[in-house]
Amino acid sequence: MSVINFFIENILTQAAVTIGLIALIGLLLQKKSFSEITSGTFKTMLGFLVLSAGSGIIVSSLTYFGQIFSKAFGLQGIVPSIEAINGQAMNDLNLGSEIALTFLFIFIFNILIARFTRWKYIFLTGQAILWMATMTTVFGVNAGLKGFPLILIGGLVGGIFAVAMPAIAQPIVRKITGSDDIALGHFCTIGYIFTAGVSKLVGDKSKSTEDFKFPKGLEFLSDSYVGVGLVMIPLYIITAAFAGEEFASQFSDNLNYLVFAFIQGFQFVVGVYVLLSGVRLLLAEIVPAFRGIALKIVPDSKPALDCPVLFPYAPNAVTLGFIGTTIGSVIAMFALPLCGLPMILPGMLTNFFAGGSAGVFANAVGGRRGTIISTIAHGIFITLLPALLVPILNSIGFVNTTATDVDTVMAALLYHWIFNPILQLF
Amino acid sequence: MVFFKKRKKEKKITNELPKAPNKEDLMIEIEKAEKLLENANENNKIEILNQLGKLYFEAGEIDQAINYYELSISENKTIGQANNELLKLYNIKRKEAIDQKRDSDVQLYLKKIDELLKLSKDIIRGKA
Repeated sequence: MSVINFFIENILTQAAVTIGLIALIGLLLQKKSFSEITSGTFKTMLGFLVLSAGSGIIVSSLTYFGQIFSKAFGLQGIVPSIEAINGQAMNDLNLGSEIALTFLFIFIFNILIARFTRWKYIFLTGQAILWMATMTTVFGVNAGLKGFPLILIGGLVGGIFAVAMPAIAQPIVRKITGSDDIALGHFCTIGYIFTAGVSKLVGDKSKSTEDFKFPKGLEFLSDSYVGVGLVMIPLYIITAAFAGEEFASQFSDNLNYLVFAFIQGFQFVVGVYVLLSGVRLLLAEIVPAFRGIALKIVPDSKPALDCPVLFPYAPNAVTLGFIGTTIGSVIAMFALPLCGLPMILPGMLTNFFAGGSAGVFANAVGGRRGTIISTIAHGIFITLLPALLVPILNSIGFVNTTATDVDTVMAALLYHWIFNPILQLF
Repeated sequence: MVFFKKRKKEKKITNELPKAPNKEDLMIEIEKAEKLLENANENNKIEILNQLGKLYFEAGEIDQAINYYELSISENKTIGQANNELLKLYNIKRKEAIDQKRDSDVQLYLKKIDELLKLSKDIIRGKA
């Protein structure tokens, strides 16, 4: 008994080990060779540790930014980054094991739902499932859940989202691709449906975004890290300038306070880069194992793939969607504080991926005009929802950050608005 | 209710292998296109490669269709017909591999789908 207790208390509480065990089981089920099992398990654990290192860099940079921002502008400046939320939840809140197990249960529930209902979607975007597992775990703990119920409910909620989101997107995806064989597996779908709704109302389907030649030269903005850097670094410097030399210098030792702000802005980009490299390493072994198993159990499944699956159908709409969403997020950045909400800075990673896909959705139902107007509305929408989470995230202990992908935000709000009051009754 | 309505539509759209009643005609066209390819220049090569991919697909020769579309993409990294057709064909091959319980091929075509998505992403960002 003491051996089992030792195992549970000292081994399973270590997220790196739990994650390594999940990968080990996946590799064993695939009947991989000894060397593949060893290296796969090792790489998965290494991925978690790289993720933790990235998270540390982000938190340190955001802590500094939060302090100079409130001094400079007298309000809270929030950086939207689901990566930062995941990193902080896994490390600072010690929820790594729970998130890893919820991740596994989302897979399991997704397979069960697809196997036994007529919604045959298998969600193949591992990274998005990790974000969903993060949010259901964090908000489950906040609602008072723990242990197995926390993981089970998180898995069920995530599993339902993993089937429901591709299902609600499918009518428009079918219109875009002309086929019903491929689905979209990206947890920004509520935003896409919102965009398509606005586009349908204001648009004119007869004039597509693809009918005109789009000016080249904006690609550099679409490079995730360049885009994030181009927004974050000037923001850090401007904020430090407004905070003033006297205040900002206390963080920079002997270095000039503006140069320090420049380096800290860069550090944020580095943190996101390191964290996402860790996530890729972490998922590289787990996801193929899951995919093989899921597709075997649900042979007539429809694979729900990551958002670039839509990009070739309307590349101009992707660029327009990215620009429109960025404009919308800048408008919301200034408008939300006027409504008593925190200031949410533009999240360039989401603006590209979610904005680009929103553009493709918008074009399919509302053409060029619809795309331009509705993607600006999309930028406002995907900034507003995360803003609603900020007070809750602050109270849980997150540092100056909020989630991005709106379906995960919706899952979190579902926990907070529905599960929380129900659980309070018991 | 929305889903029930759409379900009827779903049945209409399928990506089953095309029936090829005129396979002989198709093979003649393929032969012609392959000859054209031998003398192709930079201006028409991609068009011919895509045409061959399309003809082989219509003839039910998925592997050959994939070969030509892959060649088209490797020669000309732009977003277009070849990307979309390849995705469709990889998915058909993945399904076949599942039906025939060929696990390694399932992973192979999933990996090819991943690579295709990455390529789409890179092309849009001007990196490819």
